[in-house]
Amino acid sequence: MSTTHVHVDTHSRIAINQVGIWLFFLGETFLFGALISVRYYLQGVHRPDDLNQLLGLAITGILLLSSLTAYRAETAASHGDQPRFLRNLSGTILLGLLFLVGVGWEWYEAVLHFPPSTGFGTVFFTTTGIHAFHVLTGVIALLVVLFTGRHRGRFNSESHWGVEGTVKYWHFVDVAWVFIYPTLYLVS
Amino acid sequence: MISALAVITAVEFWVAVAFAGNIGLLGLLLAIAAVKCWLIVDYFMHISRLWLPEEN
Repeated sequence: MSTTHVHVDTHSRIAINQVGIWLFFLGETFLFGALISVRYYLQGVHRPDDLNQLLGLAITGILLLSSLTAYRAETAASHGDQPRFLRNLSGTILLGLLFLVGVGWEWYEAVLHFPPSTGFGTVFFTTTGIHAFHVLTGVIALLVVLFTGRHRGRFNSESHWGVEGTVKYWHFVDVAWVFIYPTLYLVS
Repeated sequence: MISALAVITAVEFWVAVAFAGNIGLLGLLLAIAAVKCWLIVDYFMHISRLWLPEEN
């Protein structure tokens, strides 16, 4: 029996990874698209007055800022700048955790005004809950990257797909929020 | 880039307050969200690299 070895060079592997992750994003887009559609189908543009607008705006700013630190971490990794990479990645993780605290705070207030048993409550808790779960998994992935990145030489200018892929996922979570924020907080 | 996103988010919030109850608000907000989405996907996620020729 003969075995055929297929040689895949680094550039081809990264290109395959890129296509793979964008296909994954496409699949996730259907999930968030469905959640956003359900909001308009069930509730139209109705929005309760009790939504904490200031908190919504604050967590939106936090997530946008975390995209900047994530981008800087990726750039630093691609230049082999280890201290800057670790600093920015840690900042991204902290901002992600801060976002989750903000969502927790929002839930604490929301459950008093529009519990999950109400129409808007169902939409609000499902959408923010699924998004927050994505943020949580993103934070966990960033922690894994941070842990492996601490071993000098694990990520460098030649090999940093682990950072790039995780940071791309983080940006995607931000993109999802870009549509969730006006859908839940702003339309009226 | 983050400044542009921050400014657009502030404009988005202002639009929501200024045009509350207006029939065209939903379209306006979704259009603003689409611009923010493109900025992130293009600048932060480098989507244009997908169709650039491979470097050797």
